[in-house]
Amino acid sequence: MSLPLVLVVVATAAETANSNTRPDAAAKCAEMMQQSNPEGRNAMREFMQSELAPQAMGNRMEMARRMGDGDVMLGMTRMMEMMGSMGRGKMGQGGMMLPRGRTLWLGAHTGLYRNEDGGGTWARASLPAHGAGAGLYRTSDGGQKWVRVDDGPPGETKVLGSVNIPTGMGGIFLYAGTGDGLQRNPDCF
Amino acid sequence: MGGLPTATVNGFAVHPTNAQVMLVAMRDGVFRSEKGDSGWTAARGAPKNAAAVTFNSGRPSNAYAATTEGHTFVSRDGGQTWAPVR
Repeated sequence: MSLPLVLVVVATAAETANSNTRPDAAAKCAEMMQQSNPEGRNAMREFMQSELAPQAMGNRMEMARRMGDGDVMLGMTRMMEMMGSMGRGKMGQGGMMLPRGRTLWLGAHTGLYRNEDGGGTWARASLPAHGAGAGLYRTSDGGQKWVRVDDGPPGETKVLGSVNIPTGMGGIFLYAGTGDGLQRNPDCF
Repeated sequence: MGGLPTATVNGFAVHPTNAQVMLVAMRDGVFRSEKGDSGWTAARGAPKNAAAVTFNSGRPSNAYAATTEGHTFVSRDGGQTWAPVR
């Protein structure tokens, strides 16, 4: 899976999630502003007083214009609904609302990448030395150290998912989308 | 996996609140199961050459799929039926 493809999916999801909000855009926007929690208000105040604010706000306005098909207020509402759907957030660098404590991971042919700011900046994550070989790796410290725990499913693994279905043995399942179909294994790693 | 073609799985998504509901993106389309590992059916209106699929985590009735050609499709019923995004 390529990096551009993932970004296309994310961006399109944001633009199409709320297509029926046009009539009440202004009212909904005001309502959402008033419901923000104290932490959110403080974060917003800090951000507005920072030197990043002017440029970031310009970027946000442009994004709102695009997301609202030229209607800035509608675009703002769509942005806020999208952010709200990502859970309680905080203001991040550049003024983007971030899901709290969420890290995005991207496995590509060129390596493993992680992101902390909602998709803006991708940094290459450290994996074990190249000699470690193909297989399933586990991290227990947020991606700093990786341990090879299994050969992994046969064939090329395209996608992995941890699925909260009980195995009956106290754990849950790990699903792998591979070149030979979908495989699942109790997550005992 | 009952009913799922033995072919390359390009994308995989799990419903955010009901882990039994899953979507798989494949060359032959998007497949959906409500039983975790069985009962897979081809979703109606889904594109061929599906490369990636995901649920809207805040509104799980909405799901999105992207094709290798760069087209995006949306489902408003949890992945059962799909339509192209204009």
